[in-house]
Amino acid sequence: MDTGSIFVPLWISFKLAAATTVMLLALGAFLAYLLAYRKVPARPVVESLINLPIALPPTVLGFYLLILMGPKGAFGKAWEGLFNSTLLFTFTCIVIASVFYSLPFAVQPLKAAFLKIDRRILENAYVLGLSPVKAFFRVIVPNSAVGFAAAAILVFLHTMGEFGVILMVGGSVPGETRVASIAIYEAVESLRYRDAWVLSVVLALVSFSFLLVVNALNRGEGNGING
Amino acid sequence: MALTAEIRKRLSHFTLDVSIACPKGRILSIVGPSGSGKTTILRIIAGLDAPDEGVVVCGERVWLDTGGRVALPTQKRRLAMVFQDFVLFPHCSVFKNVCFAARDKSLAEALMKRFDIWHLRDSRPQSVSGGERQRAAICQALAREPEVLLMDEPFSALDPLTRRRLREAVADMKGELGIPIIHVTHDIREALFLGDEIVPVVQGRVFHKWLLQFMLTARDADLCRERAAMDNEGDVELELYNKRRGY
Repeated sequence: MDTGSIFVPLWISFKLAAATTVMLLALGAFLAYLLAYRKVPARPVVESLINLPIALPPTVLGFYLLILMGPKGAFGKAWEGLFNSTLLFTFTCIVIASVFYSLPFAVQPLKAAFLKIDRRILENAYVLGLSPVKAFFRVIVPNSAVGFAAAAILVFLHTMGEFGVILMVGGSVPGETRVASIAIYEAVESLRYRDAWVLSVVLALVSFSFLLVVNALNRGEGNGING
Repeated sequence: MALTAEIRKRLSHFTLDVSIACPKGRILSIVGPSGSGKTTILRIIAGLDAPDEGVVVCGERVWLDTGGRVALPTQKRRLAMVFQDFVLFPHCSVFKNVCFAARDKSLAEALMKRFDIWHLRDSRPQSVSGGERQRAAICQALAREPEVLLMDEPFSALDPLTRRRLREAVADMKGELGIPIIHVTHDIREALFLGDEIVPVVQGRVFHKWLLQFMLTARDADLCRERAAMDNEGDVELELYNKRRGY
């Protein structure tokens, strides 16, 4: 593999991680808000479902998503009807899978950050005339900046290192779904250790630097996240 | 514009059942021991808690009527509330806090100058003293130009000197504000100083004799009696006191 082709999987991993992070900050903030401040029916069930990707083997989650997004699955059929193309083995498909897979890594730090906000500050915002939506953007978001940063970094790193789920629903389409972790696996299988080394070192350096930032943030907050 | 409230709510150890009315330009002080339901009254008026039954009317606007299934959300009730523990937004400067709900920034500036905190405009709430924070909280509430001002133990976390200065400032402003002010405290002297009418609440009910008993046994009973013009007649005399102060 030449230098150019080594960096294509890294670029795809980076794109995937960035897209997943953006989507999960929005979706995770919404779910974390509901869990922190609202009455949620069947809360233990909802929380268990959100956290399921932590406990489930990635291949199991990948299998369910494969069925759901396949040509006979409900989501796959709907997608085909809307866009006249199959969803499986595309970049969009691995983004959707990553959103499910990394969901708890966004929801947990955001929920913890929201719960740390003094309830009376929120009540004061309502008393001063702010609707819940305005209070979210003017009070909750600025007071949970560290939670948002921690969620973004954890989701980004978790997605950069994804393997099983991506392999199940994305396969290894060069330039489309072959992410860095899959490229490392294939390089080792075909005894291209130099390529495996380069990709592994880059991934390790990226992960280490981002975790340093998370720990620095936690130190500032006086509360550790070891996730 | 007056505020009237009839509230009934079952709490863990008793049922809160009170009726209050406060005309504009007056301060109604609800006084009572801790855990007697005083703060719950304010929270229900503000819409932060829901009663089992109740009616809250501000002027001609019904904020809450459980029978008629009316319950305006807090943000639609034009009120402001000063909390006990200096509740300010930690991510904003003192000036931005005061301007948070202000339609007119020059009013915010004028209030800060009046309460002598203009020099702290760029400071964060965490870096100023408790007294300064509470002055900022009062400015924040007034800058909203509310139709009703609620004050929940507003001075209890302050040192005696700051407490005295602040309650004098509030007393000076009440006529000029021209709105009903509901003030909650456990400190009977504060209630006597600020309140145009005093409503003693014990175990969720208005209980005038509690106030009398407290006054007669208090260390500064003479002062209390002098301020309240009370004797052993209890409720009758409290009514007289309230009338004497303009009710």
